[in-house]
Amino acid sequence: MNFSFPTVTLDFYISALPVLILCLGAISAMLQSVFKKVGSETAVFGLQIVILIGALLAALLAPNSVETAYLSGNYLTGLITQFGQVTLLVIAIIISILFKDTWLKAKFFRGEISSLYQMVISGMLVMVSSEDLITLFVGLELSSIGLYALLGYTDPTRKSQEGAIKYFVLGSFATALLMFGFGLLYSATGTMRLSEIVELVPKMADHNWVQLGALFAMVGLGFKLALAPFHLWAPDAYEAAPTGITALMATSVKVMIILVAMRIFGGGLSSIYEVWMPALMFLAVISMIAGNVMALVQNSLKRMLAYSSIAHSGYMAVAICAIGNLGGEFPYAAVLYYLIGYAIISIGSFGILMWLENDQNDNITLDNLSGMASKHPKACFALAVFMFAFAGMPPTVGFISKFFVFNAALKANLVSLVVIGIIGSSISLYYYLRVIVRMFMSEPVKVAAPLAPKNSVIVSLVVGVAVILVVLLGTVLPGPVMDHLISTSLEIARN
Amino acid sequence: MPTSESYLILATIMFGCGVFGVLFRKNLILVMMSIELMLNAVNLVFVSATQTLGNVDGQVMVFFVITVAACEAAVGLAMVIALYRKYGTIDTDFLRVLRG
Repeated sequence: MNFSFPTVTLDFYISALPVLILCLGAISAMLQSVFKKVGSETAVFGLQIVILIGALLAALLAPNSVETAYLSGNYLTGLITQFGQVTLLVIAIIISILFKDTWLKAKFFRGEISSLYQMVISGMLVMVSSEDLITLFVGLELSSIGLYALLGYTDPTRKSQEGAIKYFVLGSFATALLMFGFGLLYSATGTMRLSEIVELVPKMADHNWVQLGALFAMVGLGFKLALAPFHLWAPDAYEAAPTGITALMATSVKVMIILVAMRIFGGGLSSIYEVWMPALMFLAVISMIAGNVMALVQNSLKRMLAYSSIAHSGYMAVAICAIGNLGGEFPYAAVLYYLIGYAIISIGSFGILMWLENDQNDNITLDNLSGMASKHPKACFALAVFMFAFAGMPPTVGFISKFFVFNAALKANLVSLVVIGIIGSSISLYYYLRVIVRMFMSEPVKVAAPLAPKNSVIVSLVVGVAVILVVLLGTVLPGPVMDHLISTSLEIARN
Repeated sequence: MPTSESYLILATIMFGCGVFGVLFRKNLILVMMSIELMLNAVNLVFVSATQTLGNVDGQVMVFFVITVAACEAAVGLAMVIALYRKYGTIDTDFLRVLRG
């Protein structure tokens, strides 16, 4: 047995400051909910925003020039981890501001929600900064368990309880699959560090247990990313969750899992890509087709966006395949660009849904949207821009990011995936454009609970900025942003 | 003495039983027990690997897996109890409001 205590230095505390701040915030929110009375939610909420902004500053200022591993490789800092942390924290801040009204509406004191929220975010930060299977597992579970609770607890109705239980059962199932894969990889290689696994795996690539371990790990991550045919929980969980949590599941969880998948498949297991790549290609194809086809028949907007997120996971999986086949920094940068674009579009459209919702109706359908353009022209215009962007029409970010991903796949000779991706995109045009047609060209339909959204400065601001970014990232910004992402990805790209 | 391979085969069989339970059991408590069985198969893999490799990382992982399994069971049982108190059933067939 060889064992030595890892040295804990001041540098480690500085680079792990975002996580530490969030943990302190989570504990303090929990204590506040013990000591404070009903009515002080605003104070807890204010503190949550301050904590999140503090963590964001700490993440921005953390030293990142050289990729450094702390605690004998358990915690990693560098450009990619900084990119992940900053993205996750920005998303978390915007979503918690949008989510404020749902959260403060509760009849009894809900400091725990703030606490859970901050724990989920800290788990995500740990996960993107991990290079070691142990830290990765702890970060994954910290974020998943908090999300199970947030989903069922915020608004306890039969629907949300059902969604929470489905998400919980399939999420824990996925964790167990992922861990079984990690266990097999560990028993074959004898190390938990991805940077060591990448060197050891080629020597035992024909070892059956290694191949089985890689496949189990891929299925586990596929469940978490909602790749078809492991997507069955996603529409139910998305529909059942309060829309703020749905937005978190659609954006942050995808960012986190894709960054980890880049490390595992682009780094640790890249040397045996012949083993996992056919399986991942299969998942990508099924996701792009099933997600887009199932979205065609949905009437509820949240369910439609859930199926569309399955299809978008498929496009991101295409980029991961390109990473495995091609190497180099371009596919990494392409998938990061796709993530940024997808997160902005999702936050914008879920922001509009949150703004439209009220107590009687928390599930916006196409009938609700019919003829809405005459009453709320600006919101409808913004939603139309987001739908165009989801569908991948120029001049929005959706087009450019799909272009980068398919370009990377073509360079890696994955022509069949690109063809299926383009077919999937053209199917998706139907249901995205249907939303626009219903808003602008249909007569209003009589519904039981009509929507009467109030004007809100915060929502207008967030949605406005999202629209501007969607257009800018599709027209003038792709060059500079892509250059930046390429230099960011240099540190994890193998050549 | 059994080889490390035989431990892995035993763990795979245990894991398979767990997967079978999650997929085919109708009672939510039994589904959660099956998930625990899967996580225990994972623990067996890590412990047996540690025995063969002479490396403590696997044992550290086992502690984390046990702790996290307890947290998961706490959250999961809370959900199941909430469901039972309100509707008097924990059958998976009851979960059919969300469809499509």
